[in-house]
Amino acid sequence: MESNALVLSDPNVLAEYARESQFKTFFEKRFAAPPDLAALLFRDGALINAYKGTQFTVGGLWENIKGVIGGSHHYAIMLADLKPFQVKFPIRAISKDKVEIAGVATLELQLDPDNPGNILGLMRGISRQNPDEDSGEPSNVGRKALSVYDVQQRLEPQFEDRIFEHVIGRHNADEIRGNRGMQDQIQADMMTEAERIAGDIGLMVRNGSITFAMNDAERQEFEKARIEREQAAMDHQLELLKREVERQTESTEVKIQSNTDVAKLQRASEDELKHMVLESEVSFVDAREAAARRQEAEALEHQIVILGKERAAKFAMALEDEDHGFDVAKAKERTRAFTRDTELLETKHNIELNKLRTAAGIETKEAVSLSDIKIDDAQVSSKQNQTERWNEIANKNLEKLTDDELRKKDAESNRKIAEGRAEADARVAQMAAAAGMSAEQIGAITSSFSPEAAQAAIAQAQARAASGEKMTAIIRELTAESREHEHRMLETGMKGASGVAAGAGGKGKPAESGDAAGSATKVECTQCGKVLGAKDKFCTACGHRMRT
Amino acid sequence: MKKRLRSPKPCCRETIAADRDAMWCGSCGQPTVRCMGFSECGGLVGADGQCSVCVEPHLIIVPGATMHAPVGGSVALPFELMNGASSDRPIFITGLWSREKGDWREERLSWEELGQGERSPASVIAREIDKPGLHEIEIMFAVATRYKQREERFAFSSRILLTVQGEGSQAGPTIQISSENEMNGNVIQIHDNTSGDGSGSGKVIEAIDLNVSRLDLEEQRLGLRGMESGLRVRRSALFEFSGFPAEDHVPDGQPIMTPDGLLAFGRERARETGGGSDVRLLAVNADGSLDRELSLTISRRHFDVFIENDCLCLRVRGRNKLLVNGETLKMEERIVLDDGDRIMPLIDHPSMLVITVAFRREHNRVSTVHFYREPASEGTGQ
Repeated sequence: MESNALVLSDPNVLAEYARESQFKTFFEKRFAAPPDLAALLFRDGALINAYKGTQFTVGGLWENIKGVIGGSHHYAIMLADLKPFQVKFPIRAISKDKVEIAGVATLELQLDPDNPGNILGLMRGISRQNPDEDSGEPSNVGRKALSVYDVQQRLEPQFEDRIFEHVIGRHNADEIRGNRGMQDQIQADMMTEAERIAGDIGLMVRNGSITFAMNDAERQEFEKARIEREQAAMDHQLELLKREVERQTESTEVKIQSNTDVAKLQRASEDELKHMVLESEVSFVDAREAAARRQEAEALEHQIVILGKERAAKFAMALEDEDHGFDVAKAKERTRAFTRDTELLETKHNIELNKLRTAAGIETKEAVSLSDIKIDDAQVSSKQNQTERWNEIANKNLEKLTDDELRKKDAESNRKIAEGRAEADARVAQMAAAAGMSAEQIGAITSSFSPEAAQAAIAQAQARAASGEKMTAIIRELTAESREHEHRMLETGMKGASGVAAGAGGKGKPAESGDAAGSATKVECTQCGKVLGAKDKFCTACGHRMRT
Repeated sequence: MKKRLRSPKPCCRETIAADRDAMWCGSCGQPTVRCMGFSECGGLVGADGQCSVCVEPHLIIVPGATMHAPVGGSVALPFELMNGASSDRPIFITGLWSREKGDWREERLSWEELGQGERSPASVIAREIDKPGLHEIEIMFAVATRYKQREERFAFSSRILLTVQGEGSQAGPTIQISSENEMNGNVIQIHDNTSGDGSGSGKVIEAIDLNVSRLDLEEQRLGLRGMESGLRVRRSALFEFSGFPAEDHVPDGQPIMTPDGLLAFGRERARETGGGSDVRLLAVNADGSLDRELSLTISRRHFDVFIENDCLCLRVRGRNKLLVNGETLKMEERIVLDDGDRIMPLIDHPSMLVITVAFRREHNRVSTVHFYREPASEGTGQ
């Protein structure tokens, strides 16, 4: 089925109701709203919805039957232009320096495509009444559509005094053109005001701009500049003219002079011409002779001057030679006298000097010998003192060492004497005690000194108690044990010696270490006394090398 | 003749383990020079100043890393840096650089601290793989270890060799890390996976712990270690004292062997006698007697001298300030000492006590640091 396009009746119309007569049909009709128009559907006066790029169908048999049975509804469609549009406002204001400023402000607006229903707020005074069907005359009640001019009239009063007068009144007339700061302020204020007034009734503000007409101050400046340019151009032309006139004057003078000479020659006769030539030749010859004479006179004058100067110079030189000889003779005479005086004085001086030298030599020798003696004395005494001090220190040290050694030796000898004395006393006591004892008693006492002796005593006792054979066997057994004991002692001694040797050689412990070897794992640093492991090569306290 | 400090050996560590106060190794005779954080780590340092207990960084190529790049493109090499120290002390990664050839290129690093056993990710980009063949990428990173107000900085690097095979493919080769420790670096093979030989998926199967080595020259170039004049005062430098009474200073001809790795200068008695000083400072009169009033203006612990980052440093510890070459230093301020510097602890009477620093050099290394005291003191019996 063919669709009928729903369009606005005028390009300046922003919104209008579609004519109801279009929808009154028996057969079904289809209407299409293009996407750049919003179609607001009303049913029984209430807004149903707003559509973009949709189709409506009206009429048809079924709808008519439904209308007959159930009653009909009133439908209306309002079309709204969603494309951006421009509104222009005249600007009239007075600048700070009281100059009238004029211009045009342009505001770019658009109906809100997301909320086209809000446009109803702008539709005050718009009548839905359609033109008379019969006559086709428009209805007399109210306006029929919302136009751009309606929006303009609604916004314009808010801009004049509140924005244009307020902002422009702060600037002088000559500061307005090209003043971006001021333009930005006006633009922002315009957009803010428009948004405040019409933002919630379906208008979006997209942009604002202003264009100023030429004001009086600018016009005067412009006129002034134009006149100055004209004056400059006229001055330039005048200069050109002056230079032209000067050139013409110069060429005229040359022309006149040459014309005069030519006229004079033309007027002269042949005799006059000959006379003129002769005169010029005579004057030329006279001039040449006069020049030759002047040159001769100048040469003569030059020679006279040179001769005069030569003679004066010769005379002066002769005079100077005479004076010089006289002066030389006088000077020689004075020199001789001076030489004589000098020799006399020198002789006297030498005599005095010899006298003084002789006297000073004697004093110096005496002083030197005296000084040497003193230095020697001082050195000797210093060395003596030093030697004495050293001797004293050495003696003290020696004494100290000697005392120490003597003390040590005394202590050692005293200790040895004491030990010997104690041992002797013990012996004497033993002997004294044994004096009254029997052989058995002495043996028993002796056995307490040595385990072997004790064993022997026991064996003797046993031997005495046993028979002869048993006694022999026991003695053999004891002899064997005694040998075994000797072997053990020898082995222990050898192990100890090998352990010491291993420690001294820096090797590890011997494979079998006994108690005797364990006691040799510590050594003492000879420098600082720190106790160290036997295998340490260096002292860990002072770094002293313990062994190589 | 005592041995000079080289680097601590296992026997030195055994000596310290057996006797924590040992000053010399009982086996090799080296001085046991302690780390600044010895109280925490118990480690020893060598002449290079590195404590092997505190500073042991690892550079690990992460498993699963896939790197695709066409010849002429760039390769991002992801890896992780790990603190492998055996003590519970953090290290700080203060810089990361890489280069294929020429100058070092600083890489982005958004973290710094690594605790014991921690690892954090990083990556470098090799930009000059424009031809097939063997390419080398060198990764350098700066490591710092800190203890209280002291810090030692080191630079380590690892070299990775990239072998790029195949150039004609439009899809470009796959770079695969396939072996390690080959030649003198770590080798990453790059195979052309578009040739259909199935030589690998281009992913690293196992984490590869790369070798890292110290860069002492780069440390000096980057200003991490060494003095501005190019001299290096290593931990093996010996200290000598002139003009001080013998009982008032640590023994001559030894490196700094104190437990905290510094020499404390001050009025207090020596450590051996229960005090806290290593070098005792007292003001004396012209006749050698003690100037008690002036000595009281010397703090008990006036300043510390220590070796940090191959520089001889001085840090003021007392409130009484001091002058170094005429410049006043307040408490906690520090300065690097150079040859000929003059330390004047008595700020109001500077000429009453002047300590002059003198270096004895072996090439660019300072072998001996000599402190001369003026006027000299033979001891006051105090």
